Amino acid sequence: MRRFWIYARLQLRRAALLAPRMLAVTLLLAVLTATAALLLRAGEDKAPEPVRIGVTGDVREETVAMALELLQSMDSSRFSVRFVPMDEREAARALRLGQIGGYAVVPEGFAYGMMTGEHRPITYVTASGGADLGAEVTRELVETIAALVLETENAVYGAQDFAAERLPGTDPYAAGDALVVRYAMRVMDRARLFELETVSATKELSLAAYYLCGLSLVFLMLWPIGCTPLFAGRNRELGLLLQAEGLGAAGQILAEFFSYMLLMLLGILVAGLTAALLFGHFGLSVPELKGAPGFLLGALPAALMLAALQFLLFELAEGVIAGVLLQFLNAVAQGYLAGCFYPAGFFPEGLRRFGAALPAGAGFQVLRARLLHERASPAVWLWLLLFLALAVLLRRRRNREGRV
Amino acid sequence: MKKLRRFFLWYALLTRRLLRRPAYVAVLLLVPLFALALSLFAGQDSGVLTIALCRENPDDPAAAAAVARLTEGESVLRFYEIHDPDAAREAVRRGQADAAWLFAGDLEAQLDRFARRGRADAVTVLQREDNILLQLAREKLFAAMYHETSFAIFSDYLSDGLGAGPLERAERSRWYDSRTISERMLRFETLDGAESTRSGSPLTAPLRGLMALLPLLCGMASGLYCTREEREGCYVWLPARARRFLPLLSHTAAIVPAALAGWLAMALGGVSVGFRREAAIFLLYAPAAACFCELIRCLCPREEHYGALIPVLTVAMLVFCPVFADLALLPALRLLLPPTWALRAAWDAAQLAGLALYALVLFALTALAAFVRQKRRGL
Repeated sequence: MRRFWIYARLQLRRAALLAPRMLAVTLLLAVLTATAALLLRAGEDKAPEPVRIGVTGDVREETVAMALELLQSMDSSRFSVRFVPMDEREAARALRLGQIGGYAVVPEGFAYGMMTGEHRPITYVTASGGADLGAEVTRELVETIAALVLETENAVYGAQDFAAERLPGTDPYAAGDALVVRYAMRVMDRARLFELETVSATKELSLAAYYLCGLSLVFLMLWPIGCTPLFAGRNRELGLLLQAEGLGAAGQILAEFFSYMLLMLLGILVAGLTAALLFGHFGLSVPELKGAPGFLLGALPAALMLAALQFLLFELAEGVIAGVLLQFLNAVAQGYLAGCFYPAGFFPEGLRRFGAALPAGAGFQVLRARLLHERASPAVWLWLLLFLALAVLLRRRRNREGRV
Repeated sequence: MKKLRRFFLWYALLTRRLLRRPAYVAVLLLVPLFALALSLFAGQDSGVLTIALCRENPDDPAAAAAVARLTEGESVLRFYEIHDPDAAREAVRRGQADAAWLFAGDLEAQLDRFARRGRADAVTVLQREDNILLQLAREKLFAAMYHETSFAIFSDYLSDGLGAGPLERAERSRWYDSRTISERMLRFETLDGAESTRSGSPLTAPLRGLMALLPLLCGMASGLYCTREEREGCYVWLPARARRFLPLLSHTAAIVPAALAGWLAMALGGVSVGFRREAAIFLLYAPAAACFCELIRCLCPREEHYGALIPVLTVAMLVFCPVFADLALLPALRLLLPPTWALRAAWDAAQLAGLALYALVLFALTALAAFVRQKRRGL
């Protein structure tokens, strides 16, 4: 036991040497994560930023200009989409910088072509060719608008034909124009087709709370990469020596894990308080969060379990490069599948279940349960024990083989 | 020629020492496996929002047509039909669906009413909270009912607006369909003028961004390795000039296998943009990433500091570069990060020149930083 405490004290000293740097990193990470949260505009008191779509080409033409003006000033979509008239060069630049989701190039004589049935297609330019989700959403929106315009055009031609054949005293084009006005009015009124009802979700997190859990987990999973020097600098010969002196693999692992865990807890404390200060300063609110200390306390089981996992990964991966790579892969793969980057509802059912069964998924459930004041599943404790046991087995095997 | 041979010999030796580590090789193999698993799941139903559709009257033709359009069409939204309004409400309450759209039992009559009065109780939208995506999704809902709505507006206009009086439905339909335009109204292009197609699945969309980060992580880890080796004096016997560029070669040796694994992963995930463009990106990105890692190492020479910077840079790249979402924040900062250029070059061929220029600038800065660092050490 005495040897255990001596070794644990030594490990604590090593961790303490790294602590100032890790705390600086933690501060930076907390600022970055809070910035991400601010960008996601999860706060309920903030008006969400509409999707921006550029409109270039023949936008000065009277009908096109009027349509854009109507969309921007009267249509209900103005809160979710903003069509920004700009020249093509400016639009391409804005698209490259990610300031707009895409831009439409209205060809010369587009409106006249529509009136005469001579179609000149609009070109919609995207940056990604479909690789980005935001681009996919705006693309679908533009497709939807185009389908509406085409359907309306058919109806207008139908009305013109009807007037020309059945109503000899009526100007078919005037009849068509009057129908266009009627369509415009009804399309503007479309929000009146729907009755919105907010369903109280007693068992579910708000989007803001969801992303708080997601970002917290990503933070917990990426943070240990900074501890690489602590693990990569481990002297494997020491393991053999300690074994010979009577401190077995389990004692070694527990002593090392203890110091790493304390370092991580310190990091969490600093990160949590920084994030709470930043959230307060920028007025970001999470309805379910009743105070940072309570949430941090609730996050402890998840943090311990993830610390054990990372500890095992560093034990598994010999060498710096493999260690960093493994930590990164673990963070992004588990974070992605557990729904830290996109809500879990985004995934197919099978993948959603798989993500929930992963250690990160179990960690997510702990954070979720804390925010919803529910009982958390004991899965995190089982994972924690499993990871520590595997680390001990690995160390024992390594010591037995005499590998350094 | 001799110098070139020596260069390749060093490169081969540096690569070999990495590839001899089973853990490194195993981790690299995991990358394409992860992509393959994602692409297998990508065939399943997924979407940025899940919306439950419920028809109060299963016999209403307008509701049936709208539901069919939504469930059968290709979309980034996931729709599924549910037959009980209470079950739909419960699905929203429990978070199994982001919204539920309950179509009125007399939807066709409601759409007629809307055409006449501009108001109707056609669809009840149940949701836990409102956001931009749900607002945009309602445009999709309107579009799904638009054929019936448009027909109702048209019918009302013929009988009321043009004063033609009541007409049989068949006749109205005949006039409505008298000139059906089937031409394409939209053409989708990417910035380089190529035809833009839908990506296979939203599930595999972040793969490209992640695969741009992977080689960088390897390069940065190699930086840690080099710092330790320098401290231990492994390369003191080499001439100063060779020592200046050896870390760069070491980073490249770590980056290339990771970039190749990423390339394979992107091909398996279905997000590759074609062999030639990918090869060009690879050839420019690998040295750019190596220079970036070495530049950071020169600016941050202590192992602990450099190691501590790795997670900060990783989070910065995840947030500022368009990996999971294009947040378009701090454009000047994101231009400093290599994944931005790799992603841009993948989306727009013209940006390959930008990537090349970025690599050149980084190389010049790295050479300068390495030179200054050696001078300060008196080498």
